Amino acid sequence: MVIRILDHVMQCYTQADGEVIAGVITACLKSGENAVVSFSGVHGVPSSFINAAFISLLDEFTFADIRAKLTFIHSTKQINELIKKRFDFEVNKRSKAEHCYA
Amino acid sequence: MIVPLPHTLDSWSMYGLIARIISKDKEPLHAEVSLDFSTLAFIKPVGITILSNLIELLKKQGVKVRFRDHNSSSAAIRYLDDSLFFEQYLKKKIFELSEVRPTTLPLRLLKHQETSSWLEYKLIPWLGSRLNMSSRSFGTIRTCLQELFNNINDHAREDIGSIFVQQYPNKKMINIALSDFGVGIPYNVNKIARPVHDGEAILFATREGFTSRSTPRNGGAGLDIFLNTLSKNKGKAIIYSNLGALSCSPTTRRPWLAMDGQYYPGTLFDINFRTDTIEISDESEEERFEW
Repeated sequence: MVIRILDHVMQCYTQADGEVIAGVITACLKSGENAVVSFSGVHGVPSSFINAAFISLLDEFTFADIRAKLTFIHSTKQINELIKKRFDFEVNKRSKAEHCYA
Repeated sequence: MIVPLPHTLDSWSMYGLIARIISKDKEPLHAEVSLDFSTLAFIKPVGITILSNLIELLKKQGVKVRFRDHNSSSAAIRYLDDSLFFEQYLKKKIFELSEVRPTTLPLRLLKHQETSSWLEYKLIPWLGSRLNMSSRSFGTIRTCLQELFNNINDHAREDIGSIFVQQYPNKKMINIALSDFGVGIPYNVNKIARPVHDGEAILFATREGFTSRSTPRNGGAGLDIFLNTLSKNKGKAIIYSNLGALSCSPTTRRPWLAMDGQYYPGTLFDINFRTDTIEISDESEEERFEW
């Protein structure tokens, strides 16, 4: 299922914008479909949006599931780097925390 | 209380001015303050933001703020008038012929909900016309400011900030001075860490993953991304907050403590973007995503 971000929010700016997108992706993944998120019309995004829209998915899905079922199209170098940097950091942090508690 | 403005109002002289007006607890020292402009010979863009921030803080605390001897035709008064400073606070310009200079985007007080439209409909088109580039070229500046506006909204406990933008064509530089009069970065950091001083507290806040969790979804990435994005532009910034500051270049982040316990009420970002690297550092071209 293609989820064009600007069909759901006016802008990719705030945490609230990101939470709307997280809800749409979560519903899609829970229905068993893969999610293809389109940044068509978006030139750049801040971390608050990325955290709320995508990093929050780690609360419900494993990173392996997210990698397998979520991808992005019509994105830019800035958006791609930020998504990967934020996931890299958060996955490592959670992994370290699990080792601490193990 | 008559408070003479310094000869040159910038980020160095601001501490002395602030110390005469408010305490380190952000309590006003006087019920009425009359800012004396006769002593002011020169004001930097960051000085305009500082002055605006200070006036807003005093007004919020119920202090009566008046202006004194602000009718001279000194370079500083003319620059303030051209920058719509007096129009903002006195509802009229001092000089009939004053007008916004082409190299200036005048002083604005912005609530968070207004920042997006200011970016898209004021700053980016203005940059495009000044630098003769398409609006897509300014992803670096857009991302930096979005991170800072979100940071203010999440942490400052004040939903308003002052911003002023000045172009220096000969230096190939855009200077952006942005300030809030919130609680300050060290205030939040000191709740969960023990930095040696406030400059180090600001440094802590710029490390990826360090968050005071002012909101549940904070990832502690905003200031780190701001500085990394700025470094791609080869730009520089100084962040002043409470008793400390952090000087940031593409290769270093140097924290320091304000001298003699001097204090800034809130957070001030003095940012210099290079205009000759904007297109090189731009990352808004479409790129295929791969995990």
